[in-house]
Amino acid sequence: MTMKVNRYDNFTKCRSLILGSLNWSLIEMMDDKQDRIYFTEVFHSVDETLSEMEKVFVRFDIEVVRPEPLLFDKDRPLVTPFLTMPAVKNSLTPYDTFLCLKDTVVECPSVTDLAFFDHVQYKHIWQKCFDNGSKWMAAPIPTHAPDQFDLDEERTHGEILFDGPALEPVGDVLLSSEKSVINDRGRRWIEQWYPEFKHHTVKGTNGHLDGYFTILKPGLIMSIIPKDKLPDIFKSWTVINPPEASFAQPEVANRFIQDDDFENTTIGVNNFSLDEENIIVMKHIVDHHPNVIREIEKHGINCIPISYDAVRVLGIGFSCMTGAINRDGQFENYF
Amino acid sequence: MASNRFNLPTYIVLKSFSEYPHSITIDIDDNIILRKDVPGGEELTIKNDDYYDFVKSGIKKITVTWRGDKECENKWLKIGKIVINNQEIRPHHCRYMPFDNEYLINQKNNPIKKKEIAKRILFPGETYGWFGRITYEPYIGTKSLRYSSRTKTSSEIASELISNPNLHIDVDQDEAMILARRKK
Repeated sequence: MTMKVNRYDNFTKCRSLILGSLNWSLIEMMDDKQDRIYFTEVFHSVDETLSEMEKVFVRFDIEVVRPEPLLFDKDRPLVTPFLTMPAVKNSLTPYDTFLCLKDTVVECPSVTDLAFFDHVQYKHIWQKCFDNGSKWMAAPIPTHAPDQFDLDEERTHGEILFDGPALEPVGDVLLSSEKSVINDRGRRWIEQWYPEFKHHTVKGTNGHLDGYFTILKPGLIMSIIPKDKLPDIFKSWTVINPPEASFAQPEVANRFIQDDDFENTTIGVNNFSLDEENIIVMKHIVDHHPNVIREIEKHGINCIPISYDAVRVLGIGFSCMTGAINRDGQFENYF
Repeated sequence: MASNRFNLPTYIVLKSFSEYPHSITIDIDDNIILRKDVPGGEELTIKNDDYYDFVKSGIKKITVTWRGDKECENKWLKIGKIVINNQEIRPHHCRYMPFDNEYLINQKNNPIKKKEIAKRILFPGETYGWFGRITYEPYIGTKSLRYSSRTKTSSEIASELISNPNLHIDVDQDEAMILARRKK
């Protein structure tokens, strides 16, 4: 049974996942006609990417479920005591507001107040998992009240807040971001509910962990964080660094003689592992950074390219667009 | 109380060429910070190296507008570097909106060409061949402030409900994303 939560890592064989959906109705929210035309093109392009991803998942025998977008209705704003928003967030990033950990799905108290009603688009999925024996809970629901914010601009000590990708299990270890996407109380809440894990904070991270590294398999991590800045537990691991140097040239004069598409080729670490031997990566990375791909493949990992032209417009990677529900991994010591 | 917290060094350099005279304007939230008329047949490097007061946190719109009265095949605009508060916005992290021209209008009826054009627009690189607007919409502020909608306009909220703009310029340089840290 694959529609049952089992997640202890991001690299073992994936059995089921949520693949994001586009909420086309959100385009109606845009006042500017040019913006609407532009984002319609963007959505068409992303739709093709999602279809391509789904085909790969099906080929790898992964059960795919999709969120059900809540349609924008200009006459029905969404209101909490402290927040009014015109619509629910695009259902493209299932990874952001849920944490599948062990046999449980945790609805996260997102640091982004606009994600407050995100959960309505995923209810049918978690009900199915629950019916199949998964555990299901929500962390304390945040208020996003002004006093929580004004007294604590950095959101270090306020109400419990964390995003799903602020936490990443690696067997019996649970890594967490340092700040911004998780706060002190959020971290304590997680530690209270999951005392069996060895908890490590990844210093210097103030965003989702999947924007900093991808664990490709035990002993191998692709990371923009240098090895000496990663938690000590990674000491014996091999670290593949994306080619950071290609982001900028020392002299503008040199920059002008670069290939026109040079800047399109920055490598992302925001990939998705199908299993320990297969990973999906953006096609332009394969095209423009063959050395990095070769480096990954040297470790017995096959890189499957998928076109994703709108990545820079949306700022959303493959990892954000997919939320693994069930992987084969267990509570193991990988270090 | 007025604060200079958001008065940040803003470095933009670009280069252009066209066989005919053309102009380049850079504005931030509709305030023009630089305008240059470029003679035909001449490559010109244009640089803005100054402080800009972004006033408060939020999504800011930096627009490079490239115009010319006369179309020709041999013309280009390259964005060289955008560095705000020692953090780089990569040139290709833009929204490229070409102005309609005869070529683009003619291609719209051909589905294959239309798709090719869409790809060029969505994935433009740092060199642009059609007159138009190139915009960057970084969030300027602290990372934490970014997650609250209280300081945002309704259009910023609409945009954030749809996408997840990852351009972030932190007012505190020590908090800047590792890969964004750059000198001008």
